Amino acid sequence: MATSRLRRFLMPDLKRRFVLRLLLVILAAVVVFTQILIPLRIEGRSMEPTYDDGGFNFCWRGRYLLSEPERGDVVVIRFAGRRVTLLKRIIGLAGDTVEFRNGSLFVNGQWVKEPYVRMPSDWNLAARTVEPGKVYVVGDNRAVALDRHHLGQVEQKRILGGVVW
Amino acid sequence: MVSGKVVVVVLIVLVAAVCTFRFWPSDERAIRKQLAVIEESGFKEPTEKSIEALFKAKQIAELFSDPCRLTVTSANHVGEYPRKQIQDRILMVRASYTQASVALHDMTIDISETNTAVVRCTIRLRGEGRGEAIADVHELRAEMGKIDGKWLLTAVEIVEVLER
Repeated sequence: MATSRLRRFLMPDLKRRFVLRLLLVILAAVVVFTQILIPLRIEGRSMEPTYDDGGFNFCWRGRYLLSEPERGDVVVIRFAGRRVTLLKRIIGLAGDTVEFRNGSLFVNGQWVKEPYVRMPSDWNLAARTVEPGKVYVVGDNRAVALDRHHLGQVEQKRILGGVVW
Repeated sequence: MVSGKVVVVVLIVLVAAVCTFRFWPSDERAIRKQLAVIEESGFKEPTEKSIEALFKAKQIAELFSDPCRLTVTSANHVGEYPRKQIQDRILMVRASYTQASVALHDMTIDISETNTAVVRCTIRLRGEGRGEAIADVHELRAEMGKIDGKWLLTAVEIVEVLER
């Protein structure tokens, strides 16, 4: 009984209903994994220790449909398309003044506690104000030399979504 | 029997249509082929010889019009640059890596009727230099023109996605 069920599951009869169901499942999978939950393979160490090199995650496109990005959110940023993206943390919103002093983050002149940063940093970055329609993003790995780290203000429309975990 | 023949004919027509669409020469295909040189000649193995490096740099430089407008705000390179200078710069950048690979992703090409085109893509550079892994990603906006039957880069801009 169990064998015949397994056999039917693995090698089903190619009836019209089965083919239709299979096509619907394929179509749903394509829509979900290309438009709603985009798979991400993490390359690089700029978000360590929160996200390790070689890790896997999904970009949830609906993250900012009903809400605005907030400080501390980890977001996926697109370049010319979705194939290559950046994973960064928002540290400043439009109008905020962002500054690093000896590795410590100051937003609007106030020191910000960053529990996600575990590596010592000596970054110094003069205060700058985030322009309207933009957010300021940076990676969690501050042990990387400042001139070799991708950070800065980015247009909010380049945010593809947030990460699932 | 008749329906079987119809299916075969329809399949043949479909395959022919796909092949025609895929392999018919077009400006877009010519541009993609030109830009593929960046990936091919950008690739570097640790055993690469100097003469090979020079040849590859020349191949990439030949994609640029002479002169070509470059806009790399972060490196303070803004202006018209002769092909020779571009070639020297490519040679220098490649020399700073022991091994490297270049990939172009998400390419969109808008061709106008005046034999010009605007290309947008993401360029990704991965390699090793001075004993450590290097990875860099940029968005590229390029203008191309059909000059003497060849699509050449007339203006190249590194789009500042993240502004410090």
